[in-house]
Amino acid sequence: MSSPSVLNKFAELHSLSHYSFLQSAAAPEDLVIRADELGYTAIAITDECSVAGIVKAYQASKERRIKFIVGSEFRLPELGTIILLAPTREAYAQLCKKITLFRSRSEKGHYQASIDDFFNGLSLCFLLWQPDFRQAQLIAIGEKLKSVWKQRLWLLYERHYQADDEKNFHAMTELQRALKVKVTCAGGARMATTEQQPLYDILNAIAQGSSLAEQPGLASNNAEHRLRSLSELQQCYPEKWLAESVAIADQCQFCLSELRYEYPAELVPDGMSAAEHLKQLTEDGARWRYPEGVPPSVKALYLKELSLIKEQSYEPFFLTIHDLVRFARKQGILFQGRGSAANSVVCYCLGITAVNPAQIQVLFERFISKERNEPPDIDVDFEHERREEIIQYIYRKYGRQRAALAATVITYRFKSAFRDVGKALGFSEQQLQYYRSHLDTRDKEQSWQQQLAQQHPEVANSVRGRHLLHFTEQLMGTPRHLSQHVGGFVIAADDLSRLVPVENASMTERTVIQWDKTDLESLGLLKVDVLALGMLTALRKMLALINSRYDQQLTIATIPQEDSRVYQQLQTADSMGIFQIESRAQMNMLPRLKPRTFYDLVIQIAIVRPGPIQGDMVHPFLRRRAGLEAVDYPSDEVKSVLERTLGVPIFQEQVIKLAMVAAGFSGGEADQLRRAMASWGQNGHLTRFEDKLINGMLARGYKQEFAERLFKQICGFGQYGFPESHSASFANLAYVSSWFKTYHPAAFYVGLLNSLPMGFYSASQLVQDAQRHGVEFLSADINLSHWDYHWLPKEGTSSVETVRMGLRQIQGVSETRIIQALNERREKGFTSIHELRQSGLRDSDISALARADALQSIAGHRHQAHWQSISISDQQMPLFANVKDQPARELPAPHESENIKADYESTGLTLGRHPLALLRNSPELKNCVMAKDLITCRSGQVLTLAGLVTCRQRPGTRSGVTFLTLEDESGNSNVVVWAHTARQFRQCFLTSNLLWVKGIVEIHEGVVHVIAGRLKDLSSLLSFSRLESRRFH
Amino acid sequence: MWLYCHFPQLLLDNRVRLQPESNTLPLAFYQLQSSQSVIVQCNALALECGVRPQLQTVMAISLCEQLQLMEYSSEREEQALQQLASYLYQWAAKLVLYPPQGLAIELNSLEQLYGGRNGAFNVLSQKVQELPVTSQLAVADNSLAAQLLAEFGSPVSLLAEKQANLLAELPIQNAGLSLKAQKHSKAAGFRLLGELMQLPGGEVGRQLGLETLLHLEQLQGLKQQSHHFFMPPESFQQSLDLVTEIPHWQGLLFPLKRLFGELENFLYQRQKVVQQVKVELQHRNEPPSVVPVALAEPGWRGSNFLSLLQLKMESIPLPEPVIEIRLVANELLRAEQHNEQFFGAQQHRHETLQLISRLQAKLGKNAVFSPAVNDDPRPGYSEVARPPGEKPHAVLNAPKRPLWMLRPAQVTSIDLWQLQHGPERKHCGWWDAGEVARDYWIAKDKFGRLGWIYFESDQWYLQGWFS
Repeated sequence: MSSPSVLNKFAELHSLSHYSFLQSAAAPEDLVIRADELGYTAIAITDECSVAGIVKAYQASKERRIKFIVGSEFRLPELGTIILLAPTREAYAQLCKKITLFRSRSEKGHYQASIDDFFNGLSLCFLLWQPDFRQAQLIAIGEKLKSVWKQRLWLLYERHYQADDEKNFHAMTELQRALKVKVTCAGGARMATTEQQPLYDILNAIAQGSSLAEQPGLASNNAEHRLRSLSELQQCYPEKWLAESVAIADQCQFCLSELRYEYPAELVPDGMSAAEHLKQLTEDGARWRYPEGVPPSVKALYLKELSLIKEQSYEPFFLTIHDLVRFARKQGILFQGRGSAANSVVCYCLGITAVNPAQIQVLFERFISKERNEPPDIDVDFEHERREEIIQYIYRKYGRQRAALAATVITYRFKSAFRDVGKALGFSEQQLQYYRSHLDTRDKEQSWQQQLAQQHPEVANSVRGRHLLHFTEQLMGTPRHLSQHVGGFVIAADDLSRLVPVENASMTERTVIQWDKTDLESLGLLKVDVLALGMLTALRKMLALINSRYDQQLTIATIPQEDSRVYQQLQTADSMGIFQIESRAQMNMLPRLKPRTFYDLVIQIAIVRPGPIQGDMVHPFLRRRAGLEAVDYPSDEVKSVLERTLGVPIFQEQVIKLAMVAAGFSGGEADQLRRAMASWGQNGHLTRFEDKLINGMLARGYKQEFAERLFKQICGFGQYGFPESHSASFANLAYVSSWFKTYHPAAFYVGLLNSLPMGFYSASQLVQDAQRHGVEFLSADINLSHWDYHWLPKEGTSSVETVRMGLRQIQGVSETRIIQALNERREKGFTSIHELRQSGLRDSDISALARADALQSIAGHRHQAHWQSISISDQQMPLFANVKDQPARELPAPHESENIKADYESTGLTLGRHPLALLRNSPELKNCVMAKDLITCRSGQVLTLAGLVTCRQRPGTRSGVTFLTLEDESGNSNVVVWAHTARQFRQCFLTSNLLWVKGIVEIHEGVVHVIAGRLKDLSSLLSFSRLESRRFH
Repeated sequence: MWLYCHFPQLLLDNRVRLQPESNTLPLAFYQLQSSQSVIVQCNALALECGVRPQLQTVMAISLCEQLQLMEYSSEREEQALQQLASYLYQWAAKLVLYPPQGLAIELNSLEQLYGGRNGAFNVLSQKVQELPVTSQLAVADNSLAAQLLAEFGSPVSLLAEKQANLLAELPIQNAGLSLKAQKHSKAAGFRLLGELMQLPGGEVGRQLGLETLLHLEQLQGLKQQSHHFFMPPESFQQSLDLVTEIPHWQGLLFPLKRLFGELENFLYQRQKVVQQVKVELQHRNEPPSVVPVALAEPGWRGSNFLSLLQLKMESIPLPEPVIEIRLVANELLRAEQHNEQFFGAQQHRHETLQLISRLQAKLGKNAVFSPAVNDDPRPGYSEVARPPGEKPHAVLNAPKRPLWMLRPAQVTSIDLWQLQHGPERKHCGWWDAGEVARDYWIAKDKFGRLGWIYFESDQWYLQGWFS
């Protein structure tokens, strides 16, 4: 029976979540859930100068009885702590604007506020003042605050059972008597429960960069900074002060659901509604896309889409993206939209995407779902070299007040958590590095904890070691700081900082809001993704080359589709440089999957991902495709979902859809499942769905085995699953780049080389691949080269394509100065180094050109040219005026091996012979098979080969194996090194540049591997010491 | 004529000399070089595993899992160099240090003493080779040339012509040129120092700068170098990083013995004595334990200091395992004059120590402490006892605490007390074995005395008395 004196109401008005980085151990949702469990009336999350945690807290409060209040705290040395609460939408806008102001005064992650800031611009907020009683003149400050804030000011008292409680209590009552301001109390929560105390202590130690062993004073005295029960609170505070918290909370009426995103209005012409305007643009676009007449089926589809868009009032979003791509098109910037909503007829007609939805009939499931209430997803990739122009356009058009990037919350991952927890517990950096270097977090068989316990039982068995294991796991997923999203813009109708605070990013001139992508999704706010893609830059350059050479108007959209020669080339794994399918894993899949159509490419891209590989979907798919295994479906519903991928789930959408049709998930639940999949690995949310999924399927008559396999596949998908819509957009670029490689190899390589850095391969690898495709390269020369690689016109009847290396390939030259010098180059070219200096080149540029042998036409070979280039001019050095007239010294020409070495050093590649060609006759390489001849070997044959190690790759999916790529003068070979071989030959395996391998060749479906048995380090041969002749002596 | 001695792994050799057992495992010193940790010196076992100088430390660990890593310190290495120089100073007065790894000995002034140039070279090179450190020697007309030859490891020759040839054969990267001059020379195809030396001086200056010209001229003896000759230091300091942490005094005996042996050699060579030395034991977390060892009369024999230290050991608990030992002797006295130094500055210190010895004699060795506090929030953990004679350091903003702490706290009954202030809640210490969950009160007993009492696990305890 409860007596009337028992406290039954309390509102926590001061609590920090872990979005006050390193100051709290509690997630915002932890605080809300716990406060609700304890029977609090309300809780305010008041992170320090931030509202980064409020959306998560609000989400948690939606399903609960507790009221959620938005606030923020600020610390001022002369004053103590100030907590602002937002009772109304307008007050919330004031709060956001203040936070924005404070943040704008400081670099990323900090803020600056002074007492005067709290006397204006906050006319509707509430202020709780927790004075620092060590400061003087509190009464005077209080009077001043009271004169402005009047009834909206409270004194805040908190007690955490410290030695000075009594002193503070008396000071508080005295201050109250002097000021006649009401007092309320709060818990100042930084943890939800007692259990979070150790993590809180660790965070403190991390924040101070020290350890608890070294400075035990960093630990909290007790766990009173948790959310305390009502009876505990009652013992702690006067009843009146407790009651006041509830009175304040009662006056707070603002709810985040009131936030309405108002879209930029300027995109709609006067006299038209957004819907009418979008419809008109779509119709215009349809006529442009289908000049022969818009097929009725297409019209029906876009009308259906438009009505869905209208229901959700998403028109301005589509109009905004349309505006961006229209600008890009006008500027000649290549772009491509992707995402569920991008692959729609509306987007096709608006020109946002080039993927004809007719090619992918099945993509509309995720277009816009009313039921899921999730904003449409459109990412637009732009050329990486020119994305900045789009960003600047956004800022110019909407202003910095209205546009900012979404945030990305950087959270603790294993490596950082292990290091920081370890340091906080007093392990040395060196010890931690040592332990960590032996842990493989991708090992699926053995968790990292088990590995550590096995390798260092003494650590795992000690108290400190157990803490390290436990709290590393706990810290993982805790936010560390806000960073900027790669390209997600939020654009508001007017001042964005009325909606959410904006703060400085680490990049100058960039600003980010305090919410991330999930927060925006939760509130139904839209962001426009402006991303950068290197391949688009390369494609624009390829198109420009072809169009100018052949006087054409080729575009991505007009490139001939479904060309069989393009697919034939891909089937032989000749895909270096091709978008998305150039990695080694993709190359190995190509001869097995043998893509014949566009949709095959869509599958190819999605299937070589950790998701399908871990979910064991690759082999069943290949067997079924080869007709070696029957395709069967447990039901018609499942068939409808999986038919296009032969019964094997490959795309993320299929998994979601399966959960709906086979396990009876509602749309909302399926959406939660999708989100859980996206963050799988960071937290264990996915396992929550296990029972529901499996039971759901059993109830619908599916077998246990099928159900479990599906769940395993979902887990495997995790964050790596690829949506079909993205895959389709990527497949489009993959096809287009393959088309160039097949029909216009010279333009293809020139486009790629002029867009580096991008993709998988270095310039050296691309040039060698080009040479194997019959493209000839001429060396760079200051009088013959451009900045870029340059495709030379054909001479006479020769069928050979020739490319002149660009000066961009030379390390250590300045792009601006070289381009300026090239502009000044007269017809007869530069004739002396003196002229180069006059054209604005600096000594460093000239010296770099000399080292790259690019001054041949002026000063002879590289040694000669370099010696000339460093000569100090007479004006600089009058002391040596007497040697002025000495003729230039004739220096001996470099040996071939010296040239090769110098080429690699200055350009990263050589147009001379491959180093292996020089070494081919040395005894160490005797009997070595060349890469190009491997395919002619018998599978199972034992052989030796040697090559430069260009890639060491250890895939996360198959532990214990490493793939090496060896390069020789004829091409690349793939070497597989199993763990025991790697261990046995550890030193050369890890450090060798030139590796000799004895092993067994395996040839299967056109895929060639050498399984290494013995390794030998031949790197010393690369010094070519034996090949060089000595001079001078 | 100069003899140059290059000690390529001086720090490593020095530590192996002081702690030979450290050589039974692969051992390497690492250093941060442009934000990357790389190996700089390693022993033979590490070399066998493929560890090499300039290898990244992470790679070294991958190659050799048992590798013992220690941080390289050029100060330490220089200390070791100073010691070598002090030793060689017995035979050669004109020594120039090239820290941290080399020294040059001027031979011309020794010719008379040792019977000509060859004699001087033979005596000195023999003395160097007797040292328990790896060395590379070279002789040349000037110390700079000798340095380059020694560092490169060229063979020794006393013939001027041969020396010139050896010098000319040095690769550009070993010729002591600035990085820029090296880069330029190599880019123009020069590979050996001799190729540059053949060029006219004007051309060198014009192409590679005045600095390079001066360098080449000094090498060829055309320009003089200035030298700062070595003077032996007026104090002794030797540190020893322990490869494994040693938790008790017994395990420290061997390394200490070696350190005192070093001291003895040092004093003997210098004809000095000391009255007091300081042994500093470094711990991982705790502040260092400092043990002064004072002889009744100044002396030089290491064994005397060591036996005195052994007597003290029992009374000095080690708060934590020892990771490093340092032996310091600051006030060196001339062997014949030490009697004059008995009084004066040392007097007061001496008295304190005497008082402590008397107290210890009376109360037992473990009963005399100096009080100190740290910032541990747990009562009983923050008040620590330090070895006697240490100064306590003040803690700011410290809450009110009893002067007299009871250890362990005494069981008491709440009926005896009237609560005055509190509670102060102490619920912490999860990170080690000493977790507490207590509510502390300041309370008055029937005599009006203020006690600090707490409640834990259904029981009241008296923690201490306020003054």
